[in-house]
Amino acid sequence: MSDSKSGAKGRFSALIAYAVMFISIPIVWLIAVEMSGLPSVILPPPSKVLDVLLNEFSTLMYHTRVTLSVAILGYLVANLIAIFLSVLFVYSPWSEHFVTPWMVLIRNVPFVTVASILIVTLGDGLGTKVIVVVLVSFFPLLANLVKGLNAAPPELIDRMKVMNASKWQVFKRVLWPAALPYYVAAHEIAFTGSIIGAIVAEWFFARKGLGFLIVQSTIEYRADRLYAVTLIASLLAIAAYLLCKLWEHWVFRWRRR
Amino acid sequence: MIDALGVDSLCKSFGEELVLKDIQLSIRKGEFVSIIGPSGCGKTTLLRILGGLETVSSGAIQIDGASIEEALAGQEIGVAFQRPALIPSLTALENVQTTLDLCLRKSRLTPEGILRDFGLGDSLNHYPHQLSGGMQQRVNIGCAMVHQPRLLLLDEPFGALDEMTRATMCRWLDAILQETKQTTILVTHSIEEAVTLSDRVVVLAARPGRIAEILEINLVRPRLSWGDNAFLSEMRRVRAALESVAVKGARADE
Repeated sequence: MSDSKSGAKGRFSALIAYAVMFISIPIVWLIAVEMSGLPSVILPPPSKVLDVLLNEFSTLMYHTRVTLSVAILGYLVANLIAIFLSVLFVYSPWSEHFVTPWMVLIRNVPFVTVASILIVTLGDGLGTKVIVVVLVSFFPLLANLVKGLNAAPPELIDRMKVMNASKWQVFKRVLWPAALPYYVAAHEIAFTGSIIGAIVAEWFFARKGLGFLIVQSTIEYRADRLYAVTLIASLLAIAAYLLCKLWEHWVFRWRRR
Repeated sequence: MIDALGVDSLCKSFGEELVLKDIQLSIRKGEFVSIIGPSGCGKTTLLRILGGLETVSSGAIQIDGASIEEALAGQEIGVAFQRPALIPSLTALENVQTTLDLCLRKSRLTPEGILRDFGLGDSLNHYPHQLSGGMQQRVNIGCAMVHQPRLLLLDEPFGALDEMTRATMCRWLDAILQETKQTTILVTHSIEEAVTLSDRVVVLAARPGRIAEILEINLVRPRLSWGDNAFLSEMRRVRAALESVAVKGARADE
C-alpha cells in the first residue's frame, strides 16, 4: 500500500475515533445519570449543562478568553526560556551542569505549593499566573529541545565544520532541524499542560478565568456550571493538541513524499 | 612545484596513546591516493586531521602551500563519510546547493549539473529517504565536490553498500574523478576499491599508525575487471602488503 493511501486511511481512522468519542460521552453520561439515580444538583444531565452553555455563553466565553490569554502568554514565555537555555546548554556545556540542579529542584517542588507561595509573595496578578504556566509547560520543552539539539548527526556537523560554517549556520541548518521533531513532540504535552496550568493558577484567589469559575461553581453547588467549564477546558485541551498535530503535519510534510 | 598535499612528520596522540607516528606523505595535484590498513591503525584519524576535524600533536600539513587553517578558511576541502551527511528535510538538489550557500568561493559547477553528471537527473527533487543507499552516497559526494575543493577526502564512502552497488559506485567514481582530475584521498578497507581507484595505495601499520608501504598502481583505466590478470596481480600485491603488516602486528602483540 502506498504511503499516501495508508496516511489517508490513518487520518480517516483518527476522525472516526474522535467522532466515536464525542458521541459516546453524552450516551455514557446519560446512562450514568439514569443508573446512579443521583439528583441533578450533583450529577446534572447533558441537557442541563447544554442550557448553561447557551444561557451563560458570554460569561463562559469571557472567562475562557482570560484563561486562554494566560495560557498562551505563559506558554510563549516558557518557549523563549526553553529555547534560550537549550541553546546555551549546547554551546556552553558547563552551563548545563550549573543550571541542572536548579531545574531538578524547581521541577520537584509541587507546583501547587509553588503557586501558593507565588501568590502570597507576588499577589494574584497576571505575572503570578504566567509563572505558574511557565513552571508547568517549560520542562518538557527544555528536555526535548536539549535532546533534539544533541541528536544532530555528527557527520553533518563535521561536514559543516570542514566547510568553515559559522555557529549560526550550523545551528540553522543542522542543529535546529534535528531538534524540530523533538520540539514538536514536546508541544503536544506542554501546550495542553499550559491550559491546565492556567486553570490551576486561577484557583488561587483569582477573580476571573475558568479556574475562578470552577471554584465559584463548587462553592455555589453549581454542578451544571462545573460540568460546563470542564467541557470547555477539555475542548480547549483537545483543540491545543489537534493544533500541535496539524503543525506537525505541516512541518514534516516532506516526510510524506 | 608545490604538492597538493604535504604531510611532514605528523604525530598524533590521544592522551598517553600514540595513534599516528611520523607520517610523511606528499600527494600530487589530481592524484588519487587510498589509505588502507588493519582496523584501529589510525586511517580515519589521519583523514580527520587532514580535514581539520582533529589537531596534530606534532608535525606539519600543507594543502597547496597553505596551512590546514588557511585551507579551511578558504573552503578548499571537501569531505564525504560512510554515512551520508545529508539534511533529511532538503531535496538532493537543495542538499548540494547548501554547500554552495555556505561557500564564499566561486565554482563553475552547479548543483543540478553535478547531480545530472552523477546520474541523478531524475532524482533532483527527491528527499534523502526516497533515495537508495548508493544514490544517497552520490548526493553526499556531490555535496563534497560541488565547490571544487583542492582536496577531496572520502572516508569509506561505500562501506555500508552491498557488493554489487559498491562495484557500480567504484566505476562511477573512477569515471567522475578521471574527468574532474580531483585530488582525492580515500580511506577504505577494500583492496578492490583501492586498486580500482588509486594512483597510489598507502598501507598503514597499526599501534602506532605509521606508513608501512606506498604502492604505485600502474594500470590503465577503467580498471575494475576480474578477468584481467594485471588487475588481479595488483590486488595480490596490495593484499600481500596488508598481510605483512598484519603478521608484524600480531608478532608485536605476542
